[in-house]
Amino acid sequence: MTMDALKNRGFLSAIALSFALAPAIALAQTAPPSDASDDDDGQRGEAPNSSPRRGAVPSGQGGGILRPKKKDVEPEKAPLVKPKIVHFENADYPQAAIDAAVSGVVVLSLAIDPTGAVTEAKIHQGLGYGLDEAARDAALKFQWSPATVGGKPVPVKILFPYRFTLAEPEAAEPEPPPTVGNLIGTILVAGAEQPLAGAEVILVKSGGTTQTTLTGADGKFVFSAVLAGAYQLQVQAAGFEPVDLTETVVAGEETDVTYRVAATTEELEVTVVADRPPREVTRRTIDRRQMSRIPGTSGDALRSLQSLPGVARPPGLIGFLVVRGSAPQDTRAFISGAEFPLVYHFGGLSSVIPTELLDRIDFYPGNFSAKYGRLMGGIIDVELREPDTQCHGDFGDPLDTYGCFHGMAQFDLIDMRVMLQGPIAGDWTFAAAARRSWIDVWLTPALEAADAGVTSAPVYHDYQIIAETKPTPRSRLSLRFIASDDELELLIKNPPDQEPGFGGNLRFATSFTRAQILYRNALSKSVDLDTMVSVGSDIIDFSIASVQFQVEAMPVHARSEFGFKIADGIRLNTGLDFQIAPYDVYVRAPPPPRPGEPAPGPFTLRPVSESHESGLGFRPSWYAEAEVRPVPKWLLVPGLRADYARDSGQGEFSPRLMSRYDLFGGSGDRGTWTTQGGNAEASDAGTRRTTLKGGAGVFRQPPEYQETDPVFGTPGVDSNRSIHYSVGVEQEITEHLELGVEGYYKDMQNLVSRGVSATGDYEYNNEGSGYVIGLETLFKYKPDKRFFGWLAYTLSRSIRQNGPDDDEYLMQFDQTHVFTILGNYRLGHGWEVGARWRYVSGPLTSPVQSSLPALYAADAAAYTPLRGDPFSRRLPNFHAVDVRIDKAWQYKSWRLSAYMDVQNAYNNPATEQLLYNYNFTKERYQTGLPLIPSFGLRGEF
Amino acid sequence: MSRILRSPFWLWGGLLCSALSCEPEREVASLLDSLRVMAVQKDRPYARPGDSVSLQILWNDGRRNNEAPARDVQIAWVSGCHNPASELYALCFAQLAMLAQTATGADAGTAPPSGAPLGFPTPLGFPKLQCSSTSGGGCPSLGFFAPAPAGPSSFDFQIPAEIIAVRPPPNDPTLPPWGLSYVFFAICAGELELDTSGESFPLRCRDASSGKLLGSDDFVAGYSAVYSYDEPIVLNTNPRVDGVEFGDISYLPAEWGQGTLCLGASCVPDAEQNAPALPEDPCSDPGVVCIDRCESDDCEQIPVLALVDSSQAQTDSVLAAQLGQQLSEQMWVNYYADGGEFESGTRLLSDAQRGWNEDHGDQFTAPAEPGWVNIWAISHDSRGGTDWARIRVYVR
Repeated sequence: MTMDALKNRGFLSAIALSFALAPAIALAQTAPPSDASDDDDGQRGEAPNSSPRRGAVPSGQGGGILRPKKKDVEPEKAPLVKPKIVHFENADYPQAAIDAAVSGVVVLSLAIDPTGAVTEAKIHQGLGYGLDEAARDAALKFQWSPATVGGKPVPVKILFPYRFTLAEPEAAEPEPPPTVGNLIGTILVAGAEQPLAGAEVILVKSGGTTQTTLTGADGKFVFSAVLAGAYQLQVQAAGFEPVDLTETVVAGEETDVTYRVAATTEELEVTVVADRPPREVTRRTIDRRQMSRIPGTSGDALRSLQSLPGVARPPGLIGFLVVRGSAPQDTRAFISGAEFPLVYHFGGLSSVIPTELLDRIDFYPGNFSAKYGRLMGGIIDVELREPDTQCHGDFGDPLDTYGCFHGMAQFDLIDMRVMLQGPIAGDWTFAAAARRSWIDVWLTPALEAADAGVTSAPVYHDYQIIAETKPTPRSRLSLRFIASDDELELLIKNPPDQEPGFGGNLRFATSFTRAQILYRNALSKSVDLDTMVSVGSDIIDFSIASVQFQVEAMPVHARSEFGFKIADGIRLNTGLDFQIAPYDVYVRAPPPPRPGEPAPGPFTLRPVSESHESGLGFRPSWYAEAEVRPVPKWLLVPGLRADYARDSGQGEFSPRLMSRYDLFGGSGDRGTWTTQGGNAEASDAGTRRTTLKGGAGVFRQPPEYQETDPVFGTPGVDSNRSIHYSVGVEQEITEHLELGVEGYYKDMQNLVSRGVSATGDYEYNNEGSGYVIGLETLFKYKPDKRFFGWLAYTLSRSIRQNGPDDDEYLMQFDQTHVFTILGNYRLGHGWEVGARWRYVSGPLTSPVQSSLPALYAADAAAYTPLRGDPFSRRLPNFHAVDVRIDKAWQYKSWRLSAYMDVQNAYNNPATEQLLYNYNFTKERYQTGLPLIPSFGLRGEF
Repeated sequence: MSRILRSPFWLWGGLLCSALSCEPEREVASLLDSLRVMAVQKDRPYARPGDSVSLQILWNDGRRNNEAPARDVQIAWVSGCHNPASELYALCFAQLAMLAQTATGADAGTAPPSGAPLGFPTPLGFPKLQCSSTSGGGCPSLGFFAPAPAGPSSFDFQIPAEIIAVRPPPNDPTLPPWGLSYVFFAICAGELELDTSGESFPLRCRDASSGKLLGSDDFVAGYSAVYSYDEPIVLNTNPRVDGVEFGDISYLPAEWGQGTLCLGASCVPDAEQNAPALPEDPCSDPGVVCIDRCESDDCEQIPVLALVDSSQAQTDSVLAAQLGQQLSEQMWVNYYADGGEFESGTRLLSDAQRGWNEDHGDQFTAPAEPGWVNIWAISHDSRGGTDWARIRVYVR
C-alpha cells in the first residue's frame, strides 16, 4: 500500500521528527501485547549508551566517553560545534506498522563522519514492524554539516529520534462560508532545499482556536476552506528552529507559501568520540547486551568472562577464573577498583552481583596498569550502573524526561531477583536489588535422598543498594552497599570410601559486605580526580569433622588517583592504593599437600594443627603512570608501582611499560583518542585501524596467608614475581569486524613452593619457577542492530617447577587449546537466539603408579594413592554447544520476557576428573553436568 | 585477607559430590571378592615412648570359595621408620628398601631378635622385619624360613623411648609433642620379593607357578601409623564392637557361638583355624540364620547394624589439650561381606561436632548364589583405633 493509498483511506501517514511537539497517538489502555522490538535488548531504557540522568558520563578509567547533553558539560576539547542536518530523508511507513496501528519513535544512534555523512545508523530504541529498518535506511541518507572541535571536523555520535505517527482521520470541516480560501504551503530544510516531512503546522485562528496538520513526504501541507483573514502560522519540528509568521488568506484564492526551517541540534544528545588514552595492552570489555545474552551462562554477566580469550574453562561446579595459565588465586575481581573476595556463589552457579546492576565488565588478562597490583594473573573490574530514571511513554517509548521509577522481577531455576530504581530527592537517584537462590528447593531432596541430613539448606542471597548524584556537571558521587551470603550445613552419613574421616557435619558459609563511596570529578580541563573508599566485612566458616576454618576480616580499601595533563600529548596519572584489614583467622586442619609433594595419606587422619591469629593487615601502595604520545599515532605508557606488605614485611617496586602504535588509521588520522582492545566506539572515517601493541612489566603477589603462617607455613617467605611480556596487533576489517592477535609470555620466578629444608622437613620456600607462553586470537563482530558474536582461540602452555633440581610439570589448570565461537541474533518480533560452541583441552590429572597404585592406610580403612608424575595425564577434550532463546512481549506499561538457556545441548558431559575404585585399580571418568535446560521469566517496567 | 575466602572452594565441590555420591558407577568396596585387608588393630592406638605395641591384621581372601582349600598367603611386617620428615610415610620407602635389602639372603629364620641391628641403624633404634605364611612356613625369597611365633597376622614392635625427645617441637605451640612410627605390611597370595628401587614400596608379589607379578587382587601393601604421646595425654582405646544386629536378630557373644559370631582377635584368620566346623545342614541348625538368595533387582534389604555403645566415642584428648574443646573422635563403621552387597558400606558413627549418630546401620542384599556369607562390621575412630565383629549367615 502506498502513501497515497493511505491518504485516500482517510489516514494521514506522516513521519515527524519531533520529540517535543508531536505527542504520541494514544493507544487503548487495554491494547493487546505487542512483540517487543527487534532492537530491544531486554534492558528497557538501558541501551548500551544509555543516557545518564543528565549531563556527562565519565565512563571509568581509561575509557572516558564525554557525552554532553544540552548545555551541561563542555567537551574535553571544547568548543564543540554540533552537527546540523542539511538533508533530511523521509522514511516509508511499512504496511505492517500501518496495519497494526503502530506509531512512536525510533531512536537512532548515528555516527557522523567529519564530512557530515552518516556512516553508521544503529537502532538505539526500536519499535519493530519494519519501522526500525525504515528509519535506519532513511537516516543513512541524511547529510549533516560536520561537528567541529576547535574548527576541525570531528566524527561524532548522536541520538536521533525518528518519529512515526499515524494521524487520526480528521473531522470533516464545516461547510465553508461564502468567502473562504485555501492556505497551502511547502516546508523545506534551509540550505538543503529538501522537503521536510512530518513537520507540525499550526494555524492559529481568531479566538485562539487552532488547526493542526503535518507536512507530507513532499513537505507540503494544506488548510482548505479557511475563512479569509490574517492568521498566525506556526511550524514546529524537532531538530529545527521554530517558525512563527503571519499569513493572509484571500477569499476564493489559494495562498501558497514556502518556508525554510533551519536545523538545530539543541534537542539532540551528542556523543563526542574523545576517549581517554588506554593504559593497558589489552582490555576486553563486555557490554550489557552481550553479558546478558551469551548462551550457557543463564544471563550471568561474570560467567560470560569464560568465553573470552585467555580464560580457561574451570572445573565443573567450581567458580574459578584461570587466566593465561595463572593459578586461580592470581586473578582477582574489583568493583570500581575495590577488591571483592568472591566472584561466584558456591558451585559457580551465579556471580555475586546480578547482571542488572552492571554497566560493563573490563577484563585485563595481563600486562595491566600500575593502578592494579599485588597479583600476577588477571584483573576483572566491574563497573556498576548509574540508576536509570529515564521516563518512557506507552510501549516503552523513551521520553526526553527523567525522574521515573523502574522495577524488575525475575526468576529462573537457580534464583529469583528483584530490582527497583528511580529518583530519591533533588538530584539523587537510587537502585536497589536483592536476590535469593532456589537451589535449596531441589537440592535438599537430592541430599536427603543421599541420606545426608540437611541442617541448613544450601542457599545464597545477595543485596545491592546504590545512591548517586552529580554534585556538579563534571562530577559524580556514588554510594553503594553490596552484600552476599552463602550457607550450607548438612550431615554426611555415608562418608566417602577414600576419605572415610571426611564425613559427618559439613558446614560451609561465606558472606561479605562492602560499603563503597565513589567520587569522580573533572576538576578542570587538565586535572581529574578519581577516589574510592570501600569498607566491609569478610566472613568464612567452614568445618567438617575436626577440620575447621574460620575467618573474620574487615577490609578497608581506599584508592585515590589524580590525572594531570602536563602538556599536549603527556598526561600523568598517580595514585594511592591502600588496603587495611583487621582480621581474625582460626584454622584447625592438617597442613595441606602441594603438587610434587609425596602423598600425605588420607587427609582427615593426619594430625591437625591449629592457628589462631588476629592482626592488622596493611598493604599501602603508590603508583604513577604517564601517558605519552611522542607522535599522534604512538602511545607510550611507562608506569611504576611501589608496594609494601606489613604481613610479610616486604617493600617492592614493579616497573611496567605499555606501547600502542596505530600503523594505519586510528587516532593519528582522526585526531582523537582511540579506545582499545577491540572496543573502539568510533569507526574510522577512512582507513581501517591497524594497531601494533606490546608491553612488559613486573607483577608481584604476596604469599598466601597459610604460606607465611607460623603454624601452617614458613614465616619470611617472599612474594611471587612474574614478568609479563606481550605483543599483538589489532586490525579493523569492517565497521563491525575486528581481529586481534596477541602473543604473551610470562616468566615466573620466586614462586612460593615447597621442598625439603635443611632440617629434613618440608617447608615453604621461594624456589618455585615457571613460565606461560600463549597466543590469543579474537575475531569479533561488534554488536549491531541484530547480531554480535566472536571467535576466540587461545593456545597456551603453562609450566611449573618446584625447585631448580626438580622436574618441570604442567600447571594443574593448563589447557592447550581453548576455542569458543558464539553468536546472538535478533530475529524480530521479540525473538532472539544465540549459540556457543566450545572446544577445550581436557583437564590434567596425576595418575597413579601402574605397578602399585595405592597403599592401604589401615588407620583410615582406605587406600591412599601412589601418584606418578604430577599432572602428567590429560583427560579427554571437552566440547559442547549451548543454546539460548529469548522472547519478549512489550505491553503498554511493562515488558515481559522469557528465556531458555540450554547448556550442553547435545549432551556431551565434560570429563572433569578421574575416579578410581576403592583400591585405585580401576578408573573411570567423572563427567560434568549433562544437558541442562534453564528457564527464566522476567517482568519489568 | 579476602583471598582466604576462596581457599576452600575447591573443597566444596568435592564434598558436595561426596555427599551426593555423584560418582557414576561407584564400585562397592564392601564386597570382598579378592585378597583384602579390612583393618589393622593396635593394642595401643596411642602409645607412650618405650611401649611395646602389638598389631593384628584382619584380612580375607575373597577368591577362596567355600569348597576350595585356602590359598597360601605370605604376610610381611616392617617397623623402624620413626618421625619421617613432615610425617610423610612415603619418605620411609628408601629406608625400607635398605632394610629389606640387608635382610635378603640372611637366614633370618625368625624375626630378628629385638635389638639386633640389621645394618640399618636409625637414630632411634633398630628396625624389625617379619614375614611368614599361613601355611606355617616363612618367606624364603626374603630370607625367612620359619613361621612367626604369634602367627603371620600378628606383629609387635617397640616404640623408641626417645621418639618424642629427639623430635623438634611442633610448629603449633599449643599441640602436645608427639612421636610417629610407621609400620608397613604386605600380604601376598604368592611369594613376596624385594623391589629395591627405593622410589616406591619395596616389596612386590609374584606368582610362584607362572612367575608373573600379582596385582591388587592378590597383593595388598599398606601401613599403620602409631602416634606416641607423653603423659598426661589420655591414651586412645579401640572403639569396641559388641556384636551385630542382622534384621531383627542381635548377634551377641552370650547367645551365639564362635562359628556364627566372632569378635576382635578371634576373627583373625590365624585364630580361625581353630574355629569349630560349620554345620552340614545349616538351615536346620538353630544356631544359624538362613536367608533367601537374591535373584532379582527388588530383593528385600536386610538392616545390618554394628552394635557399638555411644560411650566408645571418646573425647579427642589431643584436641582437648590443645584447644580446650571437648570434640569427639570422628568415628565410622565399615561393613563388608564376601557375598551380597551393602547399600553404603561406610556409615557415620560419631561426628566430632554433632556427636553420636544412631543411624549408623546399613542395608544388606543377599547374593544370588547359595552358601555361607561372612559379614564384618568394623568400627574406626580418627585416631587409629579400630575393632570388629563378624557374623555368618547361610544363603539358601
